[in-house]
Amino acid sequence: MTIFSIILIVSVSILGIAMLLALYRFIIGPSLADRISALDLIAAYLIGLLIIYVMITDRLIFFDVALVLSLIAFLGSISFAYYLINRPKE
Amino acid sequence: MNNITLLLSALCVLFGAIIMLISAIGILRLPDFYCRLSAVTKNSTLGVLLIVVGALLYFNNIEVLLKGLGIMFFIALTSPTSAYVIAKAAIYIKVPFWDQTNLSDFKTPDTLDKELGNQQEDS
Repeated sequence: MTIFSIILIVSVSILGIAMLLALYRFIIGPSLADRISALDLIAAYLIGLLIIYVMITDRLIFFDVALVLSLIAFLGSISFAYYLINRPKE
Repeated sequence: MNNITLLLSALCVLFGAIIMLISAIGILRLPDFYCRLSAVTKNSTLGVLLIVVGALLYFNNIEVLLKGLGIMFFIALTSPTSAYVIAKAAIYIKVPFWDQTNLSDFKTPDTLDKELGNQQEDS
């Protein structure tokens, strides 16, 4: 176990702690816009985790997954903002 | 593998992870939706870019280089755009501001006329 793999595992655990903090904001968020921004942040964490996973296990196919996920997260944010404006009146 | 390249790659990944932890602390601690949005978008963009640069330095491969440049391009293009759209939607549905925010740049002509009318009525 080299120093490089230890640093990678430490980075993965830091990203896990950060994802838990963002999930806490996603649960307690006062408004709907808070939850949408927390979801955007969790998508960015997932992209980072995927790239570190590729560096640990040398499976290069997961770069494509990160590339597609970065596009899907953008489309999700845009459609949630559209839903915020055009929400049906209750 | 060259040792200096390995060291640079490890430093980039570690700094990216630490910057993403700072963005998580920002979304948990800041008082307002707009402050939290600013903390989220800048820090998460920089963190993902640093992690991708670390992966590119580690693999040293043309295929990985092209895919990594694609990821960096899409992240740097789409993450600030989506934050801007969410902020405009939040202003449109009147998510409340923090009480110490300076809102003097947000005065549209309607609200300015209303305030002037109120002042004239008061005097």
